[in-house]
Amino acid sequence: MPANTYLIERERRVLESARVGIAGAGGLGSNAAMLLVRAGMKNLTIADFDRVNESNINRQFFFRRQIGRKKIDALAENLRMIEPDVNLEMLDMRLTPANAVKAFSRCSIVIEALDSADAKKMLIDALLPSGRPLVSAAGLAGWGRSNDIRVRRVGRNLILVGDQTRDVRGGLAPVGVRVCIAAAMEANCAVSLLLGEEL
Amino acid sequence: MKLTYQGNETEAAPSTVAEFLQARGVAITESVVELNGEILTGDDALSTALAENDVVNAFHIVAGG
Repeated sequence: MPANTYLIERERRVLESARVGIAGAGGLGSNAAMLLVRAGMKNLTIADFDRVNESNINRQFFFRRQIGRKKIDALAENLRMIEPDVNLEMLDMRLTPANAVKAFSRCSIVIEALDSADAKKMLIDALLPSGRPLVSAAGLAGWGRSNDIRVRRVGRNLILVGDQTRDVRGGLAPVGVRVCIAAAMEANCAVSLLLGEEL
Repeated sequence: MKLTYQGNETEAAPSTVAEFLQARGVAITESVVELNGEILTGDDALSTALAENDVVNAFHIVAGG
């Protein structure tokens, strides 16, 4: 039985055969991964170098008993609780301009789910030339202002989620209520692209 | 010359994309810049001279995830 029992046959085949990459397993990446597996995806490539920290529990798809563990290991465990058959390629690495393209070479879509603005920009610059869709998020800190978070198509293959304004450097905390909106929108964009639907 | 910037028509003196955006307070190293529907990647691309009726958009990439 697939994780998403509402899919018609064509949708199930598309989602089960595609591979989506997720750069980062924090607030955006862990929740986007959770939603993609619940949507019916079976193949994910997820890259992260960090460990679960107490400050992550407010928004990331981890649990208190997982504090201190590698995020890629804890996330794999959690995703397999949703769908035991999921085919995960978990990469224990810090993404750089030199390794990002190869890391996601098997993926038809990549979701940018990094933290710092520099890292986000680095990944965009590194992956855009591939021509494959890149879904990125910026402007998701704090709470409220749900309607300011939107999806924009930029250039040929960049999809930007967020309000492009409210960042964590301005004293706003990263909080689950708003980070998860952006994570869900990123996952929704990936599913829509795969199924040929409007974003 | 006439340009469209962030969806609004505007008048601008001849300049490069970088000069045009910096004059408007855009942090170009922290932004994705789109010129006529194409994303400009690399510092060289931002030194492209603007032309009449160009459409320019800048999207600020801010931290958080």
